[in-house]
Amino acid sequence: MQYTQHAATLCLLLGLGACTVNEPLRTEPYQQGTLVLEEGQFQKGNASVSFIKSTSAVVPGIFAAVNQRNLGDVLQSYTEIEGKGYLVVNNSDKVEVVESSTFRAIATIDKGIEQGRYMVAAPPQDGVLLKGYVSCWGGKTTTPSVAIVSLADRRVIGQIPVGAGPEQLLVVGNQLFVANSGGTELDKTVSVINTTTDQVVTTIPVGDAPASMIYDPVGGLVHVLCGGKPTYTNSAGTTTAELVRIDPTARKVVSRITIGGRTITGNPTNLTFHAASRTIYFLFKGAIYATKPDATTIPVDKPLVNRVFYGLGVEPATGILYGADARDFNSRGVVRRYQPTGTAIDTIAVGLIPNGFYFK
Amino acid sequence: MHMTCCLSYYCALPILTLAACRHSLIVWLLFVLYGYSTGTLQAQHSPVRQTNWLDTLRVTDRNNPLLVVGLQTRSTDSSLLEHYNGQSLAALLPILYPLQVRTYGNGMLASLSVRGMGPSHSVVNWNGLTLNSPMLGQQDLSLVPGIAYQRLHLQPGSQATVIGADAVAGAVLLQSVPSWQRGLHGYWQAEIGPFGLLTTLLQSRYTLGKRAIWSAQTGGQYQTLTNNFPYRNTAAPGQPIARQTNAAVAQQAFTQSVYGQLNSRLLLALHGWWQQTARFLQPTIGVTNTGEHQRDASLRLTAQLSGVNRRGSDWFLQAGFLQDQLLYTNPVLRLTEPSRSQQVIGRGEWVVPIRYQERTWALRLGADLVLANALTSAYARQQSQYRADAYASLTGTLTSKITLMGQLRQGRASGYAPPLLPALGVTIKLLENQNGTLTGRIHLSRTYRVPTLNDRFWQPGGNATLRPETGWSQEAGITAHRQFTRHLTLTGTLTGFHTRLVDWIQWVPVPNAGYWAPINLLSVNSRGVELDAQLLYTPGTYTATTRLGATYVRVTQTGTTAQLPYSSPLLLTFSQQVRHHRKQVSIQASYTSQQAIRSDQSAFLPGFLLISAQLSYELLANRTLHISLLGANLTNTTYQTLENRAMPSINGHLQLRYTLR
Repeated sequence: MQYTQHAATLCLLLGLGACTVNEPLRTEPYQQGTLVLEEGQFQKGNASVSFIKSTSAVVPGIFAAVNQRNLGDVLQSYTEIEGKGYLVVNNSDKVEVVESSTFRAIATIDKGIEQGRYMVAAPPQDGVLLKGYVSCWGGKTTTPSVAIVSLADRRVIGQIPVGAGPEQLLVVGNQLFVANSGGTELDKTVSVINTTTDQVVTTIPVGDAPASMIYDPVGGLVHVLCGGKPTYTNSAGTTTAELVRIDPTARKVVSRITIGGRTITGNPTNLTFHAASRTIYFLFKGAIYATKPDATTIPVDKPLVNRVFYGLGVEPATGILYGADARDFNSRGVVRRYQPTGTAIDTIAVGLIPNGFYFK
Repeated sequence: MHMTCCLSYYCALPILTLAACRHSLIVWLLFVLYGYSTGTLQAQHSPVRQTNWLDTLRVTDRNNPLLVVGLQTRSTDSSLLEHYNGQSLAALLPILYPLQVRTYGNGMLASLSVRGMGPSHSVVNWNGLTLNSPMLGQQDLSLVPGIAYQRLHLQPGSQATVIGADAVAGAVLLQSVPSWQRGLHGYWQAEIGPFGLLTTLLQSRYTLGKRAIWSAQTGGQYQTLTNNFPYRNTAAPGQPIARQTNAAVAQQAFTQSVYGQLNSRLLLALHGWWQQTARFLQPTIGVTNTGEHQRDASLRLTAQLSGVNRRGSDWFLQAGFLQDQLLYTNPVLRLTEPSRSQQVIGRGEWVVPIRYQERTWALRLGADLVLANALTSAYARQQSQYRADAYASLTGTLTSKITLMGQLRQGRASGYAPPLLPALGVTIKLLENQNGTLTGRIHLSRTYRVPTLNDRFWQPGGNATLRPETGWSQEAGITAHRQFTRHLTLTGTLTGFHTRLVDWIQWVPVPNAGYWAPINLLSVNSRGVELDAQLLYTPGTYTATTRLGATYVRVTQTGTTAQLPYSSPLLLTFSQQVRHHRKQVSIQASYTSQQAIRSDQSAFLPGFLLISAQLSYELLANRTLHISLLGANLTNTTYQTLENRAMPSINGHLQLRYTLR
């Protein structure tokens, strides 16, 4: 051990960055568990990430602890691609790249990322993952677009213009589906991009303000939650929210179901899917609702869990629901876990304004 | 050097054209030239003996002893104000008094917190007009330059019955002061400092007529600030030292006062204050610079007529007009949002002396009316409101040692029916001898604050059904004044206070809606103690003044022990000022203790100590030319008053002042 340290010091002194030594076996602290994404307060620069290994072992603020600096302003989402974690920090206009198992920062992608929202990997080419896509609302230098990121170079290599306020991304085959929510305005389309050519193939009209999407491989359909007109574009307050199903091969809408069967007050959000049980979940007006991919109606009179959440996740292996409770948005949030039946399991204290999860 | 600063500043301001840059240079040159031209005039020193003239302040000043029995008024040393008159209230107040100013950056939006309460719970009052915006309920302290006033008082505690509802936690009183000295006098001052600071201000006073019955006062200030100070970027790898960007400020202010003694029993006072400020909005550390900027323009006008009749009663009429305009621009969102508010104020007061058992009591009867309207894109349409109040107070001496004051204020407001606001104040001379006095005081007052227009009408979120905040405020204090020797005097005041406010209005997120809305959330208690002590030592030709201030406050929601966020429990201020002939040295220190920034106390801003100092020297023996060096943040403390909002490092200003006496 001592020898190793001395060797490492010697290497550093000699400036031999590439020198290798026999490192002791490292434990990878964040290899397995659940990441809680905490967006923090807008314009306060206090986004963070907590790590849940078990209910009795929650590690708060792992990015700041490992990297000795703040993460930034509004952590919107996280994804992992080939051992690297990509944190899309919305109002800092950047994607922080970390080693997923240690959370050690490797790079920051900022040029070409403006108001980033979500990131996905493009399908592998010749078995190799070469690029990723980041939905961006745009800013000083770019319009609403999907930024193409070279995973090797960790930089933006292109922009694909899409509709306003692009939100979640979904890859099915060699097609990328982009939910164009409208951002601060109103859009009602889904862009479809060929991941080989990086060109928009078609733009599919859907309902108002599509933002979240899931893919059901059994039914072979993309489900798009169109939350309806947001309140700030809709002074009357009532709107029509829809679940729109798209055949990804034909790139056509195959069905549209009005949430609640009528106009509603409020906007359903956070469409989430548990593939093993083929259950779709979403949030609406202070409750979690569940439905099935082939349901013909989606009532909103019988919630699965009657509680306000800011984010929602479902653990793939167990189907356990994770509700992100941001409480008063000015104190530590709470993760509330439920059985798929809606029975409460436990609560876990986390960081400021949790908005999502990543299950590892 | 000046031109370089100005040009470099405006080159960083893409919204301003080259023409605007030229214009600003002309303004700067005009100030400089005017300063020189007044300096070449011969001063006329012949004070006029004024008979029967009314001190207009007696009736407009809410610091009037008839009104504030039982409350404490802290006054600012005029020589200190003179030296710091290039600073805004945002920079000045925390140096002078143990209170908090929460600021989004140097020269950015700054709000006042007295006794740990919110920014809407204190008011800034200028020549009898409450400046707080009817939209936001607060006054941006960065937009109050030193040129706008000559007297500054802080009155902690409930002023609800004195100034009007909303003054729940305290008031900052700003006054213009007449000078009846015959002839032309005044000063011209220029200040230059790091981070592109360039300030020039001019104030001239002139008295007209052989009997000096008309006096006028003109002030102007022009300031630019690049604000590119170094700060630690805590969100970047390695936390490097970076230069602040997008924080430049340019401000022009102009004030005019006219005082006229219309006859021996009638005084007219007119005050005007126009100001324009263009600011880039300093981004949070770690947040992308979007180039946001904002332009604020304000016009404040007031006319006051006061008189005294032959029976000794006096009366006072005031009319006022306030207009605030704001233009916010976000180039990224291609968003331009104008907003505008206007207020028309009318007030009348009548003070009648009442003789009772060989003692004179003063009965004050008054009424005021404030009509406000406001328009912004977030309102569905222009919103307006009226506030009408009638008030009465009776002040007098019960015995030779007890002074008593009782007040009642009954208001009406659009959409609300405020309750009767009573107040009772008592001062008792506990001890009095040739060496000093010991005075006790008690004040009890009901408080009330109506929701702001934003609280009610902002869309989305505005809640027209909000209840007003109501509560009680009580305080008791003791003041000791002791003259140890002919050259050594100590004055100390210790105050204990408790304010309880029910239906505290707080903006909270609406579930799954993506916006916030105000609700009546909390019942809040503010309890604490304040200390204000001053030692005056005048050995020979020296004058040494030492001042110590402290506030310890616990602000909690009823039923909990956690301090509300952004309320430091302990605030300390210390100042030492020494004058000797042509030299003056002063040092100010302020300490703000650690403060929670989350409601569950899970994160804190660290406490910080700030030290500033000033060295002044009269270059000419006739006190006409001063040179001063002002240093701020001398310990180079890294501090924040709002999370991740960088504040300037150590800096110094050079100030040159030419006084025409």
